[in-house]
Amino acid sequence: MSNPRQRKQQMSVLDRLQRYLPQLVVAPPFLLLVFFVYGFIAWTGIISLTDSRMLPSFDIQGFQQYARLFAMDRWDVAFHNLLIFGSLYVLFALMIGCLLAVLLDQHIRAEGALRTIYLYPMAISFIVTGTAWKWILNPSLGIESYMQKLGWESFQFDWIVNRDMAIYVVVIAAVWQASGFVMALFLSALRTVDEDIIRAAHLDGASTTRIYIGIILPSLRPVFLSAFVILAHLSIKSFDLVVALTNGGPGYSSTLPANFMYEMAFRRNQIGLGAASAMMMLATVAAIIVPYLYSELRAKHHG
Amino acid sequence: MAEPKTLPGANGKRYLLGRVFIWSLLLIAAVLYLGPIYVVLSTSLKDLAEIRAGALLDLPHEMNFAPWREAWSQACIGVRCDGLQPYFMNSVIMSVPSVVISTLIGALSGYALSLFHFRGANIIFALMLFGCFIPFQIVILPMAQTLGYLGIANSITGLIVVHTIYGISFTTLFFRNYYVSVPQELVRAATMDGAGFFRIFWHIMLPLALPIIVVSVIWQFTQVWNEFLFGASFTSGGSQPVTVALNNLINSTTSVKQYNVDMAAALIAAAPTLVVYIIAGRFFVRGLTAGAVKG
Amino acid sequence: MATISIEHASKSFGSTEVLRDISLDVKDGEFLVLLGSSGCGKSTLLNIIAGLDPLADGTIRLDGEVVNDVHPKNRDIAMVFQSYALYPNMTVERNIAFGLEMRKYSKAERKAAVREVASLLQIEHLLSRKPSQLSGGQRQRVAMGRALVRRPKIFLFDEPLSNLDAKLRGEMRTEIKKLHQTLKATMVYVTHDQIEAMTLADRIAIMRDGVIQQIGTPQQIYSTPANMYVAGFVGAPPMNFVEVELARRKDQFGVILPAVLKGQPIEYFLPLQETEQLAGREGSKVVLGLRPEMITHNAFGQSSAPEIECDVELVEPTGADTLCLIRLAGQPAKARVSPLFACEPGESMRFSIDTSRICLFDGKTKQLIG
Ligand SMILES: Nc1ncnc2c1ncn2[C@@H]1O[C@H](COP(=O)(O)OP(=O)(O)O)[C@@H](O)[C@H]1O
Ligand SMILES: [Mg+2]
Repeated sequence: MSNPRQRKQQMSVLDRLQRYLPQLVVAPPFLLLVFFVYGFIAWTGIISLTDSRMLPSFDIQGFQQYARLFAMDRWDVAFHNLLIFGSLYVLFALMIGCLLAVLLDQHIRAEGALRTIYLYPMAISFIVTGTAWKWILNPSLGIESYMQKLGWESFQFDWIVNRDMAIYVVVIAAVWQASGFVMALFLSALRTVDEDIIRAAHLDGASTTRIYIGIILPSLRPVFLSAFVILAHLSIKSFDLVVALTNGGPGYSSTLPANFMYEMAFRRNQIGLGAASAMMMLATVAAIIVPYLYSELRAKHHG
Repeated sequence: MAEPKTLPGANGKRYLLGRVFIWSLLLIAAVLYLGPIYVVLSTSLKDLAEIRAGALLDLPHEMNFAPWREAWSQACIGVRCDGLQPYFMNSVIMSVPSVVISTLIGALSGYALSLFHFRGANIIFALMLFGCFIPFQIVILPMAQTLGYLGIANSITGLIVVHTIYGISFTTLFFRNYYVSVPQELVRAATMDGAGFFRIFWHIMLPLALPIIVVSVIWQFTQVWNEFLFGASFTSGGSQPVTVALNNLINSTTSVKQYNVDMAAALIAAAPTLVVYIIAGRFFVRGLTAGAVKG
Repeated sequence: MATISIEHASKSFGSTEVLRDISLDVKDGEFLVLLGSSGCGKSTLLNIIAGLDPLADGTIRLDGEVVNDVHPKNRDIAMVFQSYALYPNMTVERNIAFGLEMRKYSKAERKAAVREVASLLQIEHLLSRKPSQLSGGQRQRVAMGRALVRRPKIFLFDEPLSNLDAKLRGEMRTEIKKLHQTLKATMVYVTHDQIEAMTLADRIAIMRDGVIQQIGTPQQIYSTPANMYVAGFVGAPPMNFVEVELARRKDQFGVILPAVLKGQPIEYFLPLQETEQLAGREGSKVVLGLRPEMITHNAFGQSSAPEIECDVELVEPTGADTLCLIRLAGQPAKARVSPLFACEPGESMRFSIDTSRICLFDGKTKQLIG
């Protein structure tokens, strides 16, 4: 029906271009990201080596901002908080999410409704979450006074205004927000487990609990890893929740590195110091993400 | 999972005990998850006297919508006293273009990336993917300067640009991972049929990716709507998004603390994403696990 | 006119060589089957003919014209894919018409062409459905329709029947054969199923690890396989290979065939034609290729063929024939006998051996030597 002889002459330029279209199409967004991610990282990296204060200067001085940073108690507290917050947040979100997923996988009639209930906090902004928990936990009108009024005179829950405990309040609110997401990840992974394996295990006489602990959960290792990476990097990025919940207080006892950076760069005109702390945050994220991406993409390449 | 009940000879009593245990854990969890939103909602409907009486967990005596009205159109944020409404509109104006543009770019570049078979294609993908994970603190300083150069500092346009750029990493990831799981034969068949790159994309690949379009739109919308750092760093006054305005309202120390107005404002700020989530959350989880976080 | 001519084609993906120096001619109107096990490069070769994979080395000609750099859409070739590759978002009608749509045919022309093809394939009632609402066999027909509608001069099929159940596969095989007779188009058909290849092909090209082992008519491939790989791949149950020694007894050239009778080893002598290639190789080892039907019962002693008697270890009835498992030179071998004459397992039985059709292979090079 068509006349290929005629077309063969015309094909060349356009069709040859077709072959390179994927590259041409990826190029603009790729270059955009190279500039706005890697270019900006380089910019921040350079600023972190200067003594920039209110305005960026490009006069490289060396690592003095980092030296200042490590000497600051405020940074020390922030980084220490990140360790506490990060590990507890990841651990509890993983545990609770995994437990809820396994429970929901037991042919629960109201699964749909329950899933939505566990998941909705994920749709809410950290500012709203922080606002809500701040209100619930405020000592004068919140849960503490409510319990005392009910007659439980000795009830105490004043972590939010307690220097030593404020960071744990951030953990509670963050776990509340993220564990439903982890649950969803695990639940959909559970749904892909081969039913025949489970039937075979039943025939071998294994109990449901044994099947989960011995067979199913170990087979979800990739999901554990994905969830771990997602949660870990989120914990390093955490910023808004602290702003809304404790605003870093009391004092600066509940600041995280992200809040530290913002404080230095935008409130105290210490751009150089802020850049140095941002570089530290990036290094922490990279320590988790780079090995993960490397192994993921390698595995996929060979797989 | 084979349901234990259906196995003949299972111990009925133990089974029942197990069910009771499972259900109690699930219900306790449900109460804990719903608790905060219940407290916020009931507080927003109480009047201040009732709140000061300290009955945090009690239902409001009577429905009082005045705090909502005040939060929407009268509360003072900074120097303006017309409530959350203008900032809410800012967020709408900011979200829609950011979501649409970044999803379209992500769909196209994700499709193109899925066609890369040459050596080093993975490096390009990894470089783009890393953008999903960077702490944005690392880019706010240069971005503030760049927005200044471009003349869009302290504007909603500036925020749209920022959200679109940093959304591309995510949307590209979603679409690329979806498209690599589409059989290559489909593209080959369409090539034999005489369709070129863009026609294959438009006629076949884009309609095919509907589940991922849903994921991308929901994800981008919740990200952009809920975002705080960029909004707080790059805007002030009248061009702030709703999250920043909400935070200002709650932390304002000028007048008597109106907890009910604060809570109503929080719910107003959370409403759009909550609604999207309750309506389409199912598709989000399904699509997300179909493509993105396969592990 | 539509001929395909491939000369010295090579293709690698990264460091793996998928095609090695392939040369192949397909005549006008010929039905050529590429047969080989999975992963041997059949699809790659097909994609190269279609233009979907660029050729690294060598030339490919269509009707004598070099088309290495011609875009697939301009080669006037249609292809049916293994997964059918139907466009999930389009109706059957649009699926079939899509190629015409892309070539800017008018709506009326498209409609007419689709209707014609649909009636040929008996899928008129499916035109408004989506692919997800079709059964495997129906999808297969739609995929064929998409190829047919353009009336190309060359059809390529990449294992089009492998996703169908056995019965449907048989039916579609017949339809494809009829289609070829009606259209008289050049067709290249890829399969790993030797029965499909034998029943459909004008000629078969057998591939292994990116190398063509033999090209010939089904009969040539079956009766004079070029090497042990081809011999073992074609035919079911496969050819028996028995390692034997060439010998001369009473001036008669032949091979010594060790067997087992009543639990005791026994040696038979099979006289063979002494060809030039075999002359003077007495005492050396060769591999004897015996198809099961060459070892059969000799009920009334009418045949003058040489006979052996040996123990039958297992009996497998297949309906028309019964297969007897015997042991030749220590290796299990299958004989094909009529069910009427099959003995019980554990008994011994007399078989006659059709030495005229025997194949001999060199044990080292695996090539046919007689
Ligand atoms: N795009 C590709 N990249 C890398 N290797 C490939 C690609 N396509 C095919 N191969 C490899 O080439 C070999 C031949 O593949 P193919 O032609 O599909 O085999 P067949 O169709 O005979 O089963 C296989 O080993 C396969 O793994
Ligand atoms: Mg193949």
